[in-house]
Amino acid sequence: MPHESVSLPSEATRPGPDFAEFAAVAWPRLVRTAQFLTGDFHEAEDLVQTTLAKVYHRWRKIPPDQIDLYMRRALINNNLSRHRRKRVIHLLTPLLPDSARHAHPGHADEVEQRTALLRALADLPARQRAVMVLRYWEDLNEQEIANVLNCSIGTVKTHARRGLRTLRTHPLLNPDPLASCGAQR
Amino acid sequence: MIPERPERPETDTEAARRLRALFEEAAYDVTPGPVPLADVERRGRARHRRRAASLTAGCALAAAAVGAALLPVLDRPPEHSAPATPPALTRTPTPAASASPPPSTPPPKPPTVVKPGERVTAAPGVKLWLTKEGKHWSDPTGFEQFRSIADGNIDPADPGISHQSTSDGEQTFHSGLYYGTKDAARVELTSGTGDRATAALVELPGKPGWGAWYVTTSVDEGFSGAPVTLYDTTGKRVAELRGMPRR
Repeated sequence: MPHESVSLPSEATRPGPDFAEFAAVAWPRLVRTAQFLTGDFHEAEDLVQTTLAKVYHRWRKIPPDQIDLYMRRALINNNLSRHRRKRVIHLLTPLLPDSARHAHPGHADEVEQRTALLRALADLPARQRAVMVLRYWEDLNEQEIANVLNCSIGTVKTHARRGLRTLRTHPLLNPDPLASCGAQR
Repeated sequence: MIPERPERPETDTEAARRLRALFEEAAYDVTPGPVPLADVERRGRARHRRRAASLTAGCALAAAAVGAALLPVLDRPPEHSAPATPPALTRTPTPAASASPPPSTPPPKPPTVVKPGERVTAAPGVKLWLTKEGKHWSDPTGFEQFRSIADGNIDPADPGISHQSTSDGEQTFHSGLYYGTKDAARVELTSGTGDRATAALVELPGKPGWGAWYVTTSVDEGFSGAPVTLYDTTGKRVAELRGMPRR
């Protein structure tokens, strides 16, 4: 896994992890995931806050072993709802939180790379984008993604194939190796 | 049993590896601050209060909505003006292997026609409505979800059916889209023990060739991941969604 795990204590101590414990552990990962979904750090934080508030409301009804699934599903669905409410094309901007910790040589390259990835993701349809994030950031397999999105594995495969193809050829990721490496499936 | 991980054909490709690396680099370039737990819990409690208040104040409205859902559909011929799609579950036992005649299947019933945006009480606290974009539904907390008919993931010309479900641990609300036919008449879920649950159908006016179905089952009835079948007015099976592997 490319990121911290939030596998949580489960059956033994139902009602499972305390909400505060879960939120504290999951928050960084969720914000990063949400950033890939929304393209904006501040929107990501707001999306995760909103989602956590909804999950807080139903915390005791969520089976401990389904917390991660429930949270991911809620995050994805909240993001899709956000897209629909806005009813505008979300134009990704490279505006990201600035801080002293980023002020080091090479940071511009990192920001540029991150911006390129986020812009490329922004060109994908929302559900296709979600599949790419769940697959290549959350590292879920097809079955797990299908469970999160409430769709078939075939749909996940289609999204993943199209999304990968789009990202590989996206101008902003060129001359990134994504464009030239790897044979088609 | 945890299902075996499907193979990922592209995992081994350099493109997939590189994409994972890009995600990782981009993710860790930004460090989120601490979780604003107090704000989250405050918003969660406020949400709970709002829901409770709206539930109380909305009882009459909900009753009216149910009543409205049960009203005859104005643009339907009189013979079809039976109560609009019932939210309740109709279950048909599986025909036994004996020689006894199988229980009759529910008679074909045209979908209830609803206006775009018209809320139907699909289950206690659950609203479902259609727009030209697809099926929307909200759970008792007001959490809205959406399944699109127009996002390119579905070919409306080819008969098919989809299935989404949510559960509160006691009841499972199943719903989905059906499409590719103007003659949809029945959608059934089949449990692991062979029981069948017949869903209610709703469509927009003008026979658009797609609509939504919904039904509620108890979690202990074995309908989790059940196969879903779409029948037309002649009783012909026009589409089937295979069930998920059972644990």
